[in-house]
Amino acid sequence: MPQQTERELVETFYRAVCAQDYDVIESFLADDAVWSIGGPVDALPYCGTYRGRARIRQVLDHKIAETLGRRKIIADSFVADRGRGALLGRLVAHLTDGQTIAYRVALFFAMCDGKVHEVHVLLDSFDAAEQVIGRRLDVSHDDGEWPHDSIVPV
Amino acid sequence: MSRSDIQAFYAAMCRHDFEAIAELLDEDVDWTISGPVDVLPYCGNFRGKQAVTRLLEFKVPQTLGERYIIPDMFLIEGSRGAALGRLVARGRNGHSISYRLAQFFTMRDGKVVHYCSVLDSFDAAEQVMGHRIEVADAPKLLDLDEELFAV
Repeated sequence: MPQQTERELVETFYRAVCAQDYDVIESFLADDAVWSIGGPVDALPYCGTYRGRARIRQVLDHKIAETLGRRKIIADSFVADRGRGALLGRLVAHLTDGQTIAYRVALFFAMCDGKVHEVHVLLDSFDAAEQVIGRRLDVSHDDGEWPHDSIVPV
Repeated sequence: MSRSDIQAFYAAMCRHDFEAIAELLDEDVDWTISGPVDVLPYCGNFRGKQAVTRLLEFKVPQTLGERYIIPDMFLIEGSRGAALGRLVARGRNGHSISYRLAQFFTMRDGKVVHYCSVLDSFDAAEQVMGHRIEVADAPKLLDLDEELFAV
């Protein structure tokens, strides 16, 4: 069987991400891969930074699957540049209560020698949080204001 | 389409060079920034060069003062660019704001015709407002299911 080119490998990983095919995704991950998902952990428990193939698979199987249920990413755009890929799309998930949610997502990854070493996911995390918790977030009150001395002027 | 056009646009975005950005916008540009409009008024969909320049010149500075983007990853393929970075800005009260953003754009004949940005909008909203957004009292979905079945 002929070896896949770098571009083909990048596209294969991209397609696995869109299909949320965790077996294929795991097969691409380097032992020391880093996978980060930006967002509020309180509302979206799968957000955070995860290191190592086994840990990432655990997060994909449990934290993401348990929160979002059946899901896929509908891609609007995909850019591949050497061993790197960038996906812009919309994640559509069918929650365990039957509700369907959809929010915008961007995913960047870097591949070397056929292995993915880093994945960075950005969500429209405000929109995602509101949909996952099932209510509008209150942005009008001032409770929980940060102390001013913790704010460092630019 | 040359890589240099795409690089020039992204470089202008990174240093928030309004005049250089405006020079590179197509008259019919479609510009989208994902996020809650009531907290981040520069979010939304804007169509046409006039609307986008108005956004960049007037609307963004109402929320974000001096600002720039620190690039992390920048990809180019054909007429399209994609970038991952961190926006650093001064908020209205002089406090620092820093959040991650992804930018995707398409150029045609040396001009940007499509732009879409995805922010870590929860983080951005908290920083722009200057306080935390409370989500702790939100029902957990699995717990909610159990309660519903128990009733």
